[in-house]
Amino acid sequence: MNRIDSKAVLALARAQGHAWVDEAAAQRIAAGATAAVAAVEASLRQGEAGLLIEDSAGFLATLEQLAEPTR
Amino acid sequence: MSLENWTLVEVADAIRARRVTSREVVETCLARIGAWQPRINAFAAVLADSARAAADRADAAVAAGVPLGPLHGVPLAHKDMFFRASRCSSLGSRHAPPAPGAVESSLLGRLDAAGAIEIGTLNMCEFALGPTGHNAWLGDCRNPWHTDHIACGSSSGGGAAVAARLAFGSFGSDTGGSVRLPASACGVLGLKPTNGRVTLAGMMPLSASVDVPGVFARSARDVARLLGIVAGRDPRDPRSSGLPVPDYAAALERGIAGVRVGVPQNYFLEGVASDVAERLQQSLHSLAALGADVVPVTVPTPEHMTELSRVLVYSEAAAIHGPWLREHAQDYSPQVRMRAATGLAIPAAAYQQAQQLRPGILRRFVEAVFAKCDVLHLPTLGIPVPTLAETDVGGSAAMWEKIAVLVRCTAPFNYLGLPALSVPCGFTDNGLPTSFQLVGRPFAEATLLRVANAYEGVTDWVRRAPAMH
Repeated sequence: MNRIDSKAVLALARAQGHAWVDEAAAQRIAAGATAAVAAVEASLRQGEAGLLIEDSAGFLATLEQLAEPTR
Repeated sequence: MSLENWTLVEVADAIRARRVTSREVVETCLARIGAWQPRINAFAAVLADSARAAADRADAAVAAGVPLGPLHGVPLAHKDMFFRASRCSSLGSRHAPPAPGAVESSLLGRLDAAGAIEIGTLNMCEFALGPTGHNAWLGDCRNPWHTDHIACGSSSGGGAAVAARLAFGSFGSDTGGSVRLPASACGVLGLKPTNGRVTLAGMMPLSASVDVPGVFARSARDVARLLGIVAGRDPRDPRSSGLPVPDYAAALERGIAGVRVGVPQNYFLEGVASDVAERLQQSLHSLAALGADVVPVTVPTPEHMTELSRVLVYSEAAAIHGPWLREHAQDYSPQVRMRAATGLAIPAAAYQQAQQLRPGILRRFVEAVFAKCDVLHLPTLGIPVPTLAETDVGGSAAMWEKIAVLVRCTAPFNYLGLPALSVPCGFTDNGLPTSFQLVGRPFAEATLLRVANAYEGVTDWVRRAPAMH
């Protein structure tokens, strides 16, 4: 699993100039980012194996294709 | 019935028919704002002078017999994040970062063209990042049914102001439940339209690929009128859909005999408080008595969708706020600072994967669920509305858990982009409102409103008003 720990968050924050991020903030940020990224990995595991080539720009088109028929 | 309890459609029709003047309606709202604002803090700014002047112009137009728009002379108020070129929006913040000059919200422009009057701007969570209604800079927005309790957020002022009869309707934004949650907590209807149904142009982005403007009102008919005015393609917003806009008001009349109402058998009813569950069950009995077919439905993996939505929201929020946050971190409250910064730690590949997964997950969800039902029926908020003190966790370790409880039933539909409507269905044991949530296929707002309208016809929850204690 892709675990993002507070040390990694602190390093990323420093690299991006966010000096306000301290250890406590880094722990909170790490917890949120880890949970979010874990959901991506779980969803990838549920999908078909292989390259992920779906075009994300097609989301609105997908909504429109699946629209309730107008009466 | 006193004027403040009229619905938006009733008041609009009365102004047109000269049974009441716009000035009378505006003065009624201003008097109520004067009484309620110190208690609930729903407004960021009250625009009394300009509203009175607009009301007088509206009344002169009625007298002159010129063509009138469908909201002619009706006072509304919106979350303080729809830009006007003539003013600075607070965005619920301490010092809002400068927005590009002379930006005008397309949504406000459509409401202006329909004749609406803006009576003020509404309190909101800081930068629309928060489900409770706490605000360290503008002051907390409080629930008009009991001021110790939260109004929910992030469009906190919209739920509170419409419930307290301070405005006849409102627009907010919904990125994780930010219209549906305050609507549920305050006892009014709250619609999150399909993503792309309503223009985003000139609205502060939190996460443009997830954001959608949403409606607060006190009847399905009111929501139908407001949505019909703002829906449809906007050349200024490439994410807006060109699909035709149906006649939402006409759809209300069809009844719900034979409509299949799906009840999720997994996830959404887990951990729901007993008094909320009881009201949900009663609402299902009412819908069945109206002729709906209540059917069980298994819903595909919603537990991942909330987190997938967070990947998009936090990554995009970090992109928007990163430069300002780096230099002005002290201008953000601790929780908002950390949530906006969470995107700094999400790998770019994970963000792109969450985007790429979205169409396929949507397709599978729609095919699995809406083959079996026409609308899903589930909680908006699975617990009784908590107090301000219970949810005042700031940036502490309890932050993620508290947020997760509040958005558990709303955020999955932001990832999916589906329309969702919160409908009041009674009160929990603590005396605060609760609701059910209807979710439909993409662009099925008319069906959701049709079910809500039928339910309103046999219940009186939306007609009950909070009393000032």
